[in-house]
Amino acid sequence: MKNEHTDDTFLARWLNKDLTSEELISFKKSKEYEEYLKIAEAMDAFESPSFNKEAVLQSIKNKIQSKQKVKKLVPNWMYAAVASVALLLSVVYYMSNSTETYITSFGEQMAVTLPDGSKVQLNSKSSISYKKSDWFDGNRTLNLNGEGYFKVKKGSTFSVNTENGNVTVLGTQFNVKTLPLYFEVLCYEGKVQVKNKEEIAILTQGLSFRKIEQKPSEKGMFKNSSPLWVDGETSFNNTPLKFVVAELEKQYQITVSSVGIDLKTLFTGTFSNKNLDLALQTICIPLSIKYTIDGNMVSLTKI
Amino acid sequence: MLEKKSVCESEVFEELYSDHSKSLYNFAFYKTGNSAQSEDLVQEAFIKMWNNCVKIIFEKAKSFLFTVVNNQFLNDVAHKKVVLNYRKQGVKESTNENPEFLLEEKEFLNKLQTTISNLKEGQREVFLLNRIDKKTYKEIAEILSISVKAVEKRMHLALKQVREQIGNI
Repeated sequence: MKNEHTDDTFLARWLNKDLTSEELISFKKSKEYEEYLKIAEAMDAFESPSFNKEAVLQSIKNKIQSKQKVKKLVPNWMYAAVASVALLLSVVYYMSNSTETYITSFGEQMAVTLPDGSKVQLNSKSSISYKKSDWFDGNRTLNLNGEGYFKVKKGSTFSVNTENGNVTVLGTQFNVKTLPLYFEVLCYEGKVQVKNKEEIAILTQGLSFRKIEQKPSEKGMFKNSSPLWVDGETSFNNTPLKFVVAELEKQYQITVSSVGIDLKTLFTGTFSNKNLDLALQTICIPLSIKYTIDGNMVSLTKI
Repeated sequence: MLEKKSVCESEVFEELYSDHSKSLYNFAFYKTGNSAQSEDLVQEAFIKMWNNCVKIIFEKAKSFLFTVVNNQFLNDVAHKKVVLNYRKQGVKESTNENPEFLLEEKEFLNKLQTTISNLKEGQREVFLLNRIDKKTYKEIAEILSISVKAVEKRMHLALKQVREQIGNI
């Protein structure tokens, strides 16, 4: 009986009023009970020291605030934000300031849509380049090398700059061909202004402008509604053989050598861009020239 | 449960403070026996909670606070001999006891006080949290991260110890 309250949680259960009535009755009979009861009752006389809740809260707030101030000055996420904004800006800057360039190789053609929706078709061995930032400012300017057929959307002035001169329009369709010492502009729709070092010409639909070497510029007329090269043919009108051969070399990636042939002979006609043998026949037969093909080499001789 | 309370909001923070600061202080005091040190521990716990408020869910805030006080105490408080200074309360308003009885009772309380001071820290904090703060065994178990059974054992031992030692003084 004496050992009944000696299991290791007995007193805890007593304090918590968790004892069974039998346990309680027998515990009350024991001599220790009175002492335990006295201790338990005496505990009520104690209290913990007073705690200055408000003052401690105030000092916590002060500490938190002073810490927050330090944080607020340059919070960590700010670095990330600044870095990403800088990155974004530099990407935008790079994109708007970069120069877009499109280049075609031998026998290749390429259709390019410009930022304003205008379209350019590039012939073989040609290139255009423009600055994006110019176009965002409404300044429609590009550089051309080789030959391109332009379909310009209506809008502000559209300029094509070449080494041989500039072509400016306000929305039209035209073809520009620029090679060393060769400059040709054909207007298929609307009105085009051509300007080179010596003169300014205004072309309307069906009119062409051509300047070869140092000769005076020629103006001509044509009937096609779009350049033939777009459909895979190249046409010439009273053009020195030299430029015809050069065009042939560009379309087929060949080297043409000629012996005893006057390259100043004028040629009028059209050759295919798809069949070299056929193209050579259309050029050589009317001019009484013999040709032989050897890989990438084509040699022309007089009959 | 639809809306979760964020510890980062100052109203929630103040609610937690008004609910737990006093018992947190007592808990610290039962460990250290030093009121200034206890206030520091309470402060540190709340500041730590605020700085980590994003990571702490409301339901876990209370146990976080007690854990911080406990760890902080173990970390940087030298184990001194704790002398608890309890203020006596005028429990009994009736004064029909004779002076001899009153004197005896005062003596008994002093003895009790000394005995409690001499208890092991683990037993003392459990005993006082239950007797003075009226915390249930379950609550104490949560605060100390121990089982209810362990709390009951400590209670039992504490009371047994007090009874055995009080006669020797």
